[in-house]
Amino acid sequence: MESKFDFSDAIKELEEISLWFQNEEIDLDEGLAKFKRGAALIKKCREHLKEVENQFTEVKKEIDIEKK
Amino acid sequence: MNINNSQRLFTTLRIVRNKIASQSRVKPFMILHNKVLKEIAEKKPSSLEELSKIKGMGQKRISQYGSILLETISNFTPSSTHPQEKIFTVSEYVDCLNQILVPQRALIKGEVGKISGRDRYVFFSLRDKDEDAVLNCFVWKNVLDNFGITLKEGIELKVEGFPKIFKSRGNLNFEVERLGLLGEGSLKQALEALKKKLAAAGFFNPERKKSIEKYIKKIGLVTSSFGDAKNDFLTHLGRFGFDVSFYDVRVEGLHAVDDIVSAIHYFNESLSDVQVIVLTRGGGSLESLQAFNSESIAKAIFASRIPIITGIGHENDETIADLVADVNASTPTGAARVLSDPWRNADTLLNQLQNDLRKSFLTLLEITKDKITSVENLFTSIFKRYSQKLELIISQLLQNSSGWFKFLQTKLDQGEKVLNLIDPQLRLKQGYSIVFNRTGKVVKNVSQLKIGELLSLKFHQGEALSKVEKINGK
Repeated sequence: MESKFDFSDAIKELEEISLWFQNEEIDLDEGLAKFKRGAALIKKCREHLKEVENQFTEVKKEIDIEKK
Repeated sequence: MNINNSQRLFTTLRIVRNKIASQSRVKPFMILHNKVLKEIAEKKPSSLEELSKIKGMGQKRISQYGSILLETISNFTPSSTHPQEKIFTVSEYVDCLNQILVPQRALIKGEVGKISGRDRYVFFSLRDKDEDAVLNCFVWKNVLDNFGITLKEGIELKVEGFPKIFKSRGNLNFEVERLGLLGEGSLKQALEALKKKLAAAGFFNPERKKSIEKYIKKIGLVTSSFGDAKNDFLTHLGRFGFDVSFYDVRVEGLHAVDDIVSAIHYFNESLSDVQVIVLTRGGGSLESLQAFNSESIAKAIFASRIPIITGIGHENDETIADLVADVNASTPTGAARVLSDPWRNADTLLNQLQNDLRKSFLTLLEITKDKITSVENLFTSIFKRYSQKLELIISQLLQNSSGWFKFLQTKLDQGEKVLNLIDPQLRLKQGYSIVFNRTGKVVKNVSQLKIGELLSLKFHQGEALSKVEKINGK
């Protein structure tokens, strides 16, 4: 498992796997490996979607009385 | 202390106070009220304790300004009967006046009158429409450029700045630091002119727009903490684990341009892991959206390394900022949608990907099974074909065996006869003999022989040694 999971990368990889299966000549062993990888990625993506709460930080408060 | 002297001390104290105010960039009354200064001028306190008895001189003000006030008072020389002891040079006096004038910052509106431009700055007069009042103004060219304003006689402006006497000319000018157009007509004209200029410079070209990642996590939000835009945006963002960094700016008025430009710089320089900047505000008149039609903001958006989504005003408000932005989402809600929709649809996408994957793999299995079956069939058919051929050959051999053997026998007999014919033993039997020389070679010609040479003769039975005595036919 990667140290930092990136949702965008995971979706990109899944789409690549999907595309790979469209090839004419594919190897069964490789296909099995891709299938396993795909299933694992989908599982991780679903887990990721469960973490929902947003974070909000105010980096700069532009209420500058002196300038007014 | 006579009234004249306390009045003079009051003026001196005011100069000191205004200097402090201008240095710390606050309004003079925030340092000390005129009322307090007047009382100080009248009572002329000589110690901090006496000073603290004056109303308005709290502990904080005493510690901040106490010593300088006392110093001013002790340095003050009351005038005798002739009050012109202190003679200023012109320069000193103009400086003195400017100390009072410069802190008098203001926002003024008026109509542009006479304009006289130089390379880097412009003088113009600002006048009231109905009244006979004129203020001479001064502005740097780059300020005009930043706010995207071309001065023309008759246009209405609001200007912010401060008054100042120009020492070398002796006249008072209002130095303009910020300015904006008033009146729909001139705003539209300015907008069109700037649009043309920026379009020619390639600011709106689609090919230079930065692409925005589909699944965004880190957002830099630039808007005002007042107004609906911020809440509209945050509400429609949904809850997908976004990390929103909010930079509060003014989105209207002459300070909006500076605030927004600083915000864009801030994210690019200090929070560079932000994946997208959202610049948003609610709807408004052309005048209130003026900042978003400025060249400065256009340039800041253009130069931003982080892609920018704008959601400014209502659907039909299209500002220059929108045109330069990498994605124009029209409204605060629209901007939120651009960022949250991919997450909202992610579940469906995952289902689809999972189905595709399952189907693809099943198809792969089917194909592989078919392949195995077809290879199997191929082998079986090859085996069948060849086994038939072999059987044919064997049966043919078995059927023709008797004839074959006869043929072989005849061939063998023939071969024996030929062999017999060429057998040297048979010749010897018939009475021929073979002559060998001493080296064991068969002698076929007399030319190789010498008189007296010994030769051995081989007969059918036995051998004999002989000597050459005479050679004929050499």
